Amino acid sequence: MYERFEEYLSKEFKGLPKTKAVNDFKEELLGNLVEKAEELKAKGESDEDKVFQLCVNSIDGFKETLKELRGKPMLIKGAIKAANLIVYLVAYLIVLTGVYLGISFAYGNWSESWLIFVVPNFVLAMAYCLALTSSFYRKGKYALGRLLIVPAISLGVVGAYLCVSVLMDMWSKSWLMLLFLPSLILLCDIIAGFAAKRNKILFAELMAVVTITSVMVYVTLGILGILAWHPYWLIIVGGGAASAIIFAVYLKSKTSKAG
Amino acid sequence: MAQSGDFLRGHTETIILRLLLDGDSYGYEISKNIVERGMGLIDIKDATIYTAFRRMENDGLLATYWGEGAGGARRRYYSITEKGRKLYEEKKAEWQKLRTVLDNLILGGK
Repeated sequence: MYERFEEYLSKEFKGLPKTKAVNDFKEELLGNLVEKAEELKAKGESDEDKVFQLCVNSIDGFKETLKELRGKPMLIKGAIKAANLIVYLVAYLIVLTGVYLGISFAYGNWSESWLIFVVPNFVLAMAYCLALTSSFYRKGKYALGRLLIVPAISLGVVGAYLCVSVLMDMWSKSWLMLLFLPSLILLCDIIAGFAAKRNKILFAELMAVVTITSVMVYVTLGILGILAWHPYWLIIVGGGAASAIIFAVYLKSKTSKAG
Repeated sequence: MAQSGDFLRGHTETIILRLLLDGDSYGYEISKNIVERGMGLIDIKDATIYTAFRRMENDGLLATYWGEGAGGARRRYYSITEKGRKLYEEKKAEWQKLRTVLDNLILGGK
């Protein structure tokens, strides 16, 4: 009888959200149905079909409770969500416009204050990516979490590049910041990977970071004219040497683990 | 002749709270108790009880826990909370006043 009631309730609850409230209600009904059936049998009712029907009829009104548990239809939920989003977006634009007009009038710097419309979007998009990363990590989906670090860091660096370029009028040099984007992404991924793989150091990525960074430092300092191209190409050699040391540490750790 | 909804309207929660003052119980038992104590005049629908349970639980008047039931199923037990006890006392006082007023109005009196 238990299985029969369970089957009946599964059909009735089909399509409902799998929330705790719904599952609890289903189990509560199942318990009450079984209880009622046991009681009817104890009173001498031996016809299983009759017992089943009497029990099911006795809870006929439970569909009213199901309606409550079903909550608002998906369409209404979606419409409410969309309306909320529009309200937030309009409020956000009003605030940005207010800040833009306020700063522009106060400082008379209309040629740079347009950044107010751009930079917060970069910051918000970056924060959203990092929030998603954190959420994926909590769910144990480390690969997806690490993947989102790439757009997060890219947005941060491009935003910083725009700010520096516009505010300091350094368009001819500020692009050099972008050269460090791969190193920064790899570095953040090493940190994220360290957390995801339970304190495991990603040696290959670490070597790549050191090598790429040394090349970019050399190129940047050379273009900026801070260091001469020759003999400071030795920076790259230094990066290569550091990578070799990292590789040696990796080999040693592997040998000691094997031993 | 069993009466349902109208007869109990507005009192279902108080009745459930009163039954739970005697001890923790589960849906079927509470429903059966109401019918039995109703002296054949009350026939409460299960839906009314379940809706009341949900509402009362959300309002913090009841707490729930699972226990062993018959035939391999589990029972969802309800117990009255401190907030539920206070509400019951308020409702009881309200009822006593109302009963006196109704007695005066229907049976006649001062």
